[in-house]
Amino acid sequence: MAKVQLEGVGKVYPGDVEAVIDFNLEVEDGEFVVLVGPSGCGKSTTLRMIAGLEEITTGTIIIGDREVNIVPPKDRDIAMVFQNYALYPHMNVYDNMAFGLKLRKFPKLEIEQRIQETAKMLDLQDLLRRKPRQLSGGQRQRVAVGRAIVRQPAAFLFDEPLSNLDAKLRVQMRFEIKRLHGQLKSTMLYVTHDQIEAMTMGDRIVVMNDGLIQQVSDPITLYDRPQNKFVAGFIGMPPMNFLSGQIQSHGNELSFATEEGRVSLTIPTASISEQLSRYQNQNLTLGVRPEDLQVTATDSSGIIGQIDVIEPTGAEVLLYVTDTGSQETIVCRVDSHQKCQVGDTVTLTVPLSKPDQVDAGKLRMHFFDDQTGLRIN
Amino acid sequence: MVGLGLSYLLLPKQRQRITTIQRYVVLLLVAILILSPFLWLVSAVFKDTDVLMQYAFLPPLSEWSSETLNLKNFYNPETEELDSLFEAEKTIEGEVHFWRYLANSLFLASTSTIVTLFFSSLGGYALAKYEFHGKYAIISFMLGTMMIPGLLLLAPLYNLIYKIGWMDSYWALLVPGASSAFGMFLFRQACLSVPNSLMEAARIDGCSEFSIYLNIVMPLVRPMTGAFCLVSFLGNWNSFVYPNIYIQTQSKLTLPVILNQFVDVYSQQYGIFLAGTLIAIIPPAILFFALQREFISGLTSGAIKG
Repeated sequence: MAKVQLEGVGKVYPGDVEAVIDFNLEVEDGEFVVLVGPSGCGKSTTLRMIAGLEEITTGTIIIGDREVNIVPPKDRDIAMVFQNYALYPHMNVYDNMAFGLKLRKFPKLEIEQRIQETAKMLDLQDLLRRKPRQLSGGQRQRVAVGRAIVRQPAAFLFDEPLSNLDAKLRVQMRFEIKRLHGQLKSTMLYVTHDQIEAMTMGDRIVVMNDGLIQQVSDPITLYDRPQNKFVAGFIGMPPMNFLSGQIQSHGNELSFATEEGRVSLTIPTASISEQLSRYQNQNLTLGVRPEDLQVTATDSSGIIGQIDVIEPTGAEVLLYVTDTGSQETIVCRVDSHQKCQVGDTVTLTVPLSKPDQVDAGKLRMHFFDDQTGLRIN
Repeated sequence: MVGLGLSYLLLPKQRQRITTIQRYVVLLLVAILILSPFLWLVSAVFKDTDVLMQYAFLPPLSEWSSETLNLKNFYNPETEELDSLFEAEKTIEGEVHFWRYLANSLFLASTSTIVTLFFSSLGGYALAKYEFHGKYAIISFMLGTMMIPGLLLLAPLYNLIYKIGWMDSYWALLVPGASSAFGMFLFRQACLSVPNSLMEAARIDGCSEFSIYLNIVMPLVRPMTGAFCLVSFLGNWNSFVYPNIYIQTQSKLTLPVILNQFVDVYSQQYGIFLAGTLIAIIPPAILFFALQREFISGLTSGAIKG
């Protein structure tokens, strides 16, 4: 097992296309780090540079205590699991798993031992003589993981390994991979575009966009305190709601109001910071998560709108409300017993917790600078 | 025809049966048409010279005897004259057996096929999977060379072979044909369908670039390899012009050249020439039956997505 360090790593493709810009990250020994972001953000390129499948334009990659910039992939002591499994179709499962070890001239006995142990770990014992085309998607993915495990590498690299699986299998495999990490305690770098995968699997998450790191945090911090508007909108399903407006002062209270003045939300104490107070009467963006909105009486101030769509998910209901003023769609998460119908006019507000309540310190409102997109509070 | 016109009166199952029968009848007629020359050849080879032209195919069963059907076209030690295929032919160099010509053809066709396969597959693999400066210029140039008829190059090639000193040598037959632009294009198309992720997985596993070609890519393009081997072997096996021009020593000649000589030598004993022709058909036929699945798969690969 080993540390993986990326210092100032950049990748520029012909035509001056900057795929990765000044990427700095230190992955501790045994840590599970997820790289997440939209398509084309540079996460797979970063992973491929660590693997040695792409040349680095700038910066340094260190695996263990060795700089590996010009070291070929086979000598970097890494193993990779690909999105499309990349199993050799003409070899059976056993030979697929043994291939890397045979090339490294491992003794037959050791190869047999490693494969049997790994097959037991992944429940592949009965499939060792089958060819990949005789396996299901989930089985193929387990074989791909098994091929990586038998190598006992310093670091595992996963490039969107669950993308080709159906939803149910994806949930199952997520659990399997996380369990494996607990068992092997190996350093793992995992790339995905699915933020739910990222949140459930990573010890730390690296959110990327346009080749740049947006934020590196543990899942809870990422969710509760996104550092910029992009992260706030990317992490969380349904995504965070955004409203443009200004902070206004009313005695001891601060409120947020949209330009039309139709929306006025009192800002909870926990969401107020000294920096926020300095933004009074300046344009900024308010972000509110769907679960931080509540449906209140229509005569109270808040976001007033008409329910367009109701999505029952079982445990809760998602209301898609069109704000009367800005015509923006606001998503609100309510209890499944909430009585609402499409066409109803509702008022959405942010609950103000009492100081002794459990969630008194919860940040329900997130403010972002309109120019930079950075978090203010 | 009336029956065909009244087919609408039949049940669907009966109509299907009639259609199937019609199909098989047509196919049988076509098969007979195509196989007739071959069947004539086989029957002619086993007929005695005296009755060769007397019967279209085999004589009637009642006339089967050692006088009408025998193996004298292959071997006839009863007479002192040279009048069967496997008796040694006396030449300036000494006695040359027919087996020698067969062996020459086998050696040249096999070696040429293997060498061409190696270079064509390697070239096609490089053109499919690697990016390098001038790649597309090379492809365009190769396309251009394919437009030149081979026989146009005969004179300059002969001049070159003569100056190198390869006249009457198998190098003259093996080296010029060692690489095939057509073969490279075929393999390029086949290699394009191999996912790059397989190669990347192999690199991480520890394969060298040549090892990726040998252990990962080539097994996956087996249909194309089989098809190419068959086409290449047949081309080399049937090659007449270049062996006829470059090879002067009798014992080095190949089957097509010798069979051409037999047309004159055995003009009165046509059966011997036909026996030689039958022998010449056997190796390519064996190869075809061995590789027919790959041949058909290689021809149709890429026809259907997925």
